[in-house]
Amino acid sequence: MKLADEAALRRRLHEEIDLAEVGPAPVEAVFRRYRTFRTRQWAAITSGVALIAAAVGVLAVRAPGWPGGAPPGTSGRPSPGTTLHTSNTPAQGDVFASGTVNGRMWRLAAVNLADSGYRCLPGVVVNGQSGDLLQPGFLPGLALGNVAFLAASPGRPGIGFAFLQLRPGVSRVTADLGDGTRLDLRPVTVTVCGQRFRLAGFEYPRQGVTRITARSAQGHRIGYTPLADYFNPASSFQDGTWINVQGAAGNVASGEIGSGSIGRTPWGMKVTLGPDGECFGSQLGPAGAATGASLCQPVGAPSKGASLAPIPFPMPAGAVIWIWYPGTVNARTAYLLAHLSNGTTRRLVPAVVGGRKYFVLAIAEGVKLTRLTLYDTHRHVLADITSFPPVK
Amino acid sequence: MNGKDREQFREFMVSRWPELVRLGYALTGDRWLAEDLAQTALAGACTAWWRVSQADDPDAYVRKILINASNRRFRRRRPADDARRLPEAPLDDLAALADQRSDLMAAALRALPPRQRAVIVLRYWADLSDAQVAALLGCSEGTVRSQAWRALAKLRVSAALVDGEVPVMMRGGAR
Repeated sequence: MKLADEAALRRRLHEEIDLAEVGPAPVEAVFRRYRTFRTRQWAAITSGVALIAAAVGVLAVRAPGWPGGAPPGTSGRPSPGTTLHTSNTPAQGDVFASGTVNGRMWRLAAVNLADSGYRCLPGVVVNGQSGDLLQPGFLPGLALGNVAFLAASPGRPGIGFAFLQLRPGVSRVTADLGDGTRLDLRPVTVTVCGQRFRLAGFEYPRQGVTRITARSAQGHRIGYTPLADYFNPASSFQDGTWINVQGAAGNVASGEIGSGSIGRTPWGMKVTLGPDGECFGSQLGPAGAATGASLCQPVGAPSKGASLAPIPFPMPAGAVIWIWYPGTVNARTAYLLAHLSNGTTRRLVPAVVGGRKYFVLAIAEGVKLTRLTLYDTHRHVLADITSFPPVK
Repeated sequence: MNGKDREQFREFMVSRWPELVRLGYALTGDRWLAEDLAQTALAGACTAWWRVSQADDPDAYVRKILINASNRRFRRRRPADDARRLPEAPLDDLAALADQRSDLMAAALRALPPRQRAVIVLRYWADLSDAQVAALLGCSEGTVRSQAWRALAKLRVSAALVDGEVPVMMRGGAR
């Protein structure tokens, strides 16, 4: 019988859609989006119409009373949620802001976050790591552009970094900090991946940032973005993760990085590169089933070896915990061998998403990953990893 | 948003989440995208919660945001989004066959233009009246009926919607 009648179609749709399992509501994620929406609305209301062509400055200038202008340096610290197991060289690029705080140097640079030989992925890194993607466009109605924050980098409690991706016409920006300081910033034009971006950056104290104001060349205010909500104690602003307040154009790339089955239950994992950073989302069950655990983290510099982020995933019955190990690998990696504590070995083939090479391994809790070896197409060992991050 | 509103919205979110995800899935055929659309709709509702909470039908408000977000996404869609994965191995059990049928249903829906797909989902899955569908889609009831008629005509000729045995050869010639 064909679905010639409407009742049959109604029945088939309910059969297919109603039976799909859905996970719990991601309450905090929704509230975070809400705060982003609200900030956009405020900015849209206050933004002016007249945008005047801007002269381009050379450096992000610190306001009096703040140390600045120090030579760039690197810290080499890993991003939260990622453990680097081989010597990932900090990404080099065009430095558009730098300074020193508490005797330690920092720098913000625009870089290509993709592996060499693949599509270019423009982003910004702090001291060569903890990357955030540059937006491919701007939301309409906003005078400023995108504002991105990275709170409390590991090893630097109470300090955060921010960068602004500015629209044409914005010649100056003032940033009001939570401790009462006002920074006067001028955008720097940098070219990465063949595209020109107008950027400014600064570091901010524990009290956060209360407002960013965009100004024309004549100093007239053409829009502002209130930010105090992001830095109040009730905010879900997560330390160690970039937040793009006016991230404009959605995700830059997305794709499946691995799939398999646990018994007869299929699973898959997807990575999405966008305003939330590098987000891994796991899926257990057939199409339409609940999405499982997920993790968002800054976009790391291209791996020289491999980086991993373990994600525990409780099975529906709650009886077994599976651990997903998604991560990136060296661009030359053709395949990986994962050696497990139960004596088995798994062969994994990485997938390229957004110009970056990803892999994922799923193992049951209790079984340990003991060794991960990366091979190139000639079966030469590129990296051999024997220590792994603890599962939180 | 004060604490009371926040708690009220939280309850609303938790209770509506499954239905919104399923609506998103029905519209897009993509489980990840469905959750993204549901989050977008709820965040939009949160932004105007004072208005949504006093509306006669708060669900309609949230559905409308989700449908609009889905349509915007369709306009931005790249060809790669439509790439379908074919089974790599022969399907040799009933569970796999059921999954295959489910995929075919999703594929048949996805093959419809977005407005026709929305009409079918809202009319036959969400069980809304033509007037409600028209209000959600911003068109007349006559347009809803004509879109439904066209969509049904396409679904009738789709081999994917044959009840009973599924033509396995259609999916990559595995058997």
